[in-house]
Amino acid sequence: MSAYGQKRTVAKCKDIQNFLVSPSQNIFSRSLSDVIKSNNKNLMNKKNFVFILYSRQLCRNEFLSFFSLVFEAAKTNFHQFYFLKNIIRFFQLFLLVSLSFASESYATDQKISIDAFKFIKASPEAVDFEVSISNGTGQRLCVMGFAKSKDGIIRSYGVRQNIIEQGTDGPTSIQVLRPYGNNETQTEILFFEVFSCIDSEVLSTKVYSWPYDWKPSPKTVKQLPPEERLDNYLDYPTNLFYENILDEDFDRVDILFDKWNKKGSKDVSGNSSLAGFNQALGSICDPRYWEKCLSKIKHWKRTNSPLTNLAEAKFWQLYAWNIRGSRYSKDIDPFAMKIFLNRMTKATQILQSSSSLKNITPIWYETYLETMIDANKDVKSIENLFNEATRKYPNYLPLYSVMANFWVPVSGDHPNWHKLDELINKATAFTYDPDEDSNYARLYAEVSQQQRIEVDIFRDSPVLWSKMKDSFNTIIRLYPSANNLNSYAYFACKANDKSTFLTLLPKVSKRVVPEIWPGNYSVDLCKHMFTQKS
Amino acid sequence: MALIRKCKDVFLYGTVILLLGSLMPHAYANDKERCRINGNIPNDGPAGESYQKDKMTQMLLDVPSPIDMYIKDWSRDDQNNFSMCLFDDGRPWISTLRPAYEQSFDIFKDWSQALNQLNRNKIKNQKSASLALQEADYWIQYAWDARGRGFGSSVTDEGWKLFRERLLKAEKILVDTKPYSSDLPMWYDEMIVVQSALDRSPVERDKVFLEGAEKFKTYYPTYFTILNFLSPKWGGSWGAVDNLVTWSVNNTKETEGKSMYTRMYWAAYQGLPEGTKLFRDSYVSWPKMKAGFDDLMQRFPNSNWNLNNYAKFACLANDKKTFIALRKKIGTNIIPDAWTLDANQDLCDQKFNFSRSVK
Repeated sequence: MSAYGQKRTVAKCKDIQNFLVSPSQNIFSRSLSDVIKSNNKNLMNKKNFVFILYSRQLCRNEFLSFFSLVFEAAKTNFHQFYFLKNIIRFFQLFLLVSLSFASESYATDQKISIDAFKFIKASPEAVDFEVSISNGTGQRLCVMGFAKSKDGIIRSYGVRQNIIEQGTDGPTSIQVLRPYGNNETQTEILFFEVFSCIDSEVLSTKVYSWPYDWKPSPKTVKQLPPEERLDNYLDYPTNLFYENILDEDFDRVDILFDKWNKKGSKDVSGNSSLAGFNQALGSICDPRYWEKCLSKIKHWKRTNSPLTNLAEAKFWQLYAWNIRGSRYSKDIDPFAMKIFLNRMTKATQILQSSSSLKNITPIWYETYLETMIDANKDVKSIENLFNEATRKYPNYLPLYSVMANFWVPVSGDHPNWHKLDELINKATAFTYDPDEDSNYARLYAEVSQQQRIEVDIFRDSPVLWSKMKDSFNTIIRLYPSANNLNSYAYFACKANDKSTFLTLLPKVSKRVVPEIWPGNYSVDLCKHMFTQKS
Repeated sequence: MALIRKCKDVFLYGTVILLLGSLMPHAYANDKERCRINGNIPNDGPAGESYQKDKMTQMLLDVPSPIDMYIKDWSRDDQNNFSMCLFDDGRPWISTLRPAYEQSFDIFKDWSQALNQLNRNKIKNQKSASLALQEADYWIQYAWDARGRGFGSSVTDEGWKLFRERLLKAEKILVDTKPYSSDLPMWYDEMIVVQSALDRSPVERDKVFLEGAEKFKTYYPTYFTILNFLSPKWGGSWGAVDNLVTWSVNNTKETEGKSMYTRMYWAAYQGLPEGTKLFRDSYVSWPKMKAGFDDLMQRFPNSNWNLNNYAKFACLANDKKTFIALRKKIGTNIIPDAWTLDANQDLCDQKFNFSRSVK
């Protein structure tokens, strides 16, 4: 499945940094997974939420401006109290002056070392260490620590960052936060990372074996539905891949990949866990720093992991799309198209040179199929490749998703709805064991949600609502996640199936997922349509 | 002795009072103080906008909301003359109020909760201009929620019905509260939006615009709002857009120089439907737009946002020389949001051989 047309993209720093978090929550203490899985509305609700949330991975560079943001945020809350406000303003100015030296650039080729660590104290929430660090770069740097399980699945739920001044050579305090959830849990590995405070580039990492039993946390947390519980790590495979790749913890990436490649496990909504790898790859490059992204992949290549071929091919795909622009666009600059095809050729060459991977993982086929479609290869070759892929991996649904996108492109160019219907029926039959008939609705829903808002599958395609409804019932029985419930309710509304919609409404109202509902069919509108309440 | 002690106390209290007085927010020495922003806080482009928007959202969630006080600080000087605090790119801080309204509604699980919050605030702040506009905006946003943002063909019958009903509510609020809520320039934006969406007579709508542009000459968003409704996408024409641009430049030349030409066509570009090209389809003149950008850069030299956009438009206009010169200035300070799909920085760099391409 291609990452570009996906609605499920990993949040970026700029999205995250605007969220407001309760003061009772720790600063810098929530990771990307929180942000993606948390309902922004819950976070921002009410006046006491004054701190600005920064994701640990993507926004490390914002650390220096953080304090002033906190003060600014606090100011808005203390608006009634001029005195307090002005005291804050005074301290803010003071802080500003003291932090103003922080915004220099740094040189990466200087000396940094992380030499030893000493346990200081522990609480159920965090463990404090003293780490011996030397910073001979002549620049101020940032440092953080986090704990992980051996398989990379359990990890600290966030980080606290410290600054290492230039010329530092000695102990630095670092606090490592507990994993998600309140239950007793274990981690085995400890990471300390020194990175640029400016652009977050990791400059030095030290990994220690340090088994630790985290005691149950006395903090009470709101009981969330199963799919929203952040300690269900395995339900967020994309996040796990993403975080481990960003940590440059490639051993753990391999472990996760092997685990999910061998076993067809699914996430909370019934999507392939393995597909999370490709989705994570689609999000690891910052479009401002393509060179850095490629050099990270080259660094990864030193591990000789075969996955790096997939990562490199994905890089060229993303880089190609970066110049071409939107998938929705038909009017492409010929110059952009030429470079787009050149970059796609690079992706193709990498995949061809690593074709042995096709016997190991369906992701090779998925990526190659995407590349062939993007590079406008002939229909016959694409169909042959797809048939070969599904013969080998009949249960891997993303292969069908890629092909669905070929028959009905998101650009709206020459859609072939009958071929799509044929494909979806074939996919449903091929994946019946173990998915039963669930993939009929899953694939139609996916295609519909990628299309422009003006496209109506009930008008334009041969989809049958009765069949889609049965399929949704199977999905809900197997995977009653909020996403699936919302998706079912939306299609019921669109299909004008009042009774199904009203049956689903009480459940959906408790767990609305706004992204599922397109602009012209909000939950509110559907409620009005079927209840005539104003 | 007692007298001395008393004098000492008076002196001490006096010092404290003086010290506090000097810190009071309303005792601004000048405009610079009123609009001062901490150096580490973003104040340019989308980052600045986002920061102020969040701040305003927070205020809208407070009961009673202090929003009026802030809006006054940001739009009036000590003599109560209209004088706006600006981002480094020259846009007014108060232009983030409407996006903040939208964000404040999004926070709530459903529309009725958002309305309850608004009503709670209205009780505490009767005759608040900001809250009156928030209520009007609530009905506008709620109307669009029913309609959706797609073409008319994608809208359901129920969607059209609710769209109209809710816009009428917004119109009524704007009309009823005009005596005090039109003290804010945003009143005119909201009114133009409502009138256009309700298909009111263009004469009536233009009257509203002219009144707003006369009263708040340098509040750009009102010009951009009417421009949108005069564009071909909304049944207008490029000729009408160009006439408006000429009129707007004339209306603002005393304070804005030539920059309004650039700002207006920049806004026109942002609203272009797919398949339309600014330099091919509209009446824009690149030399005039370039002169406007030079003017903008002179007025707001610290704006990296304006600089990135200047380079993007140079690329769109195929002005290699200008693009290269600007691109060198930008270096690695690229703001991805400034670039668009048809003029992304990667494409422009390649096109004009400004090579930072990955091999």
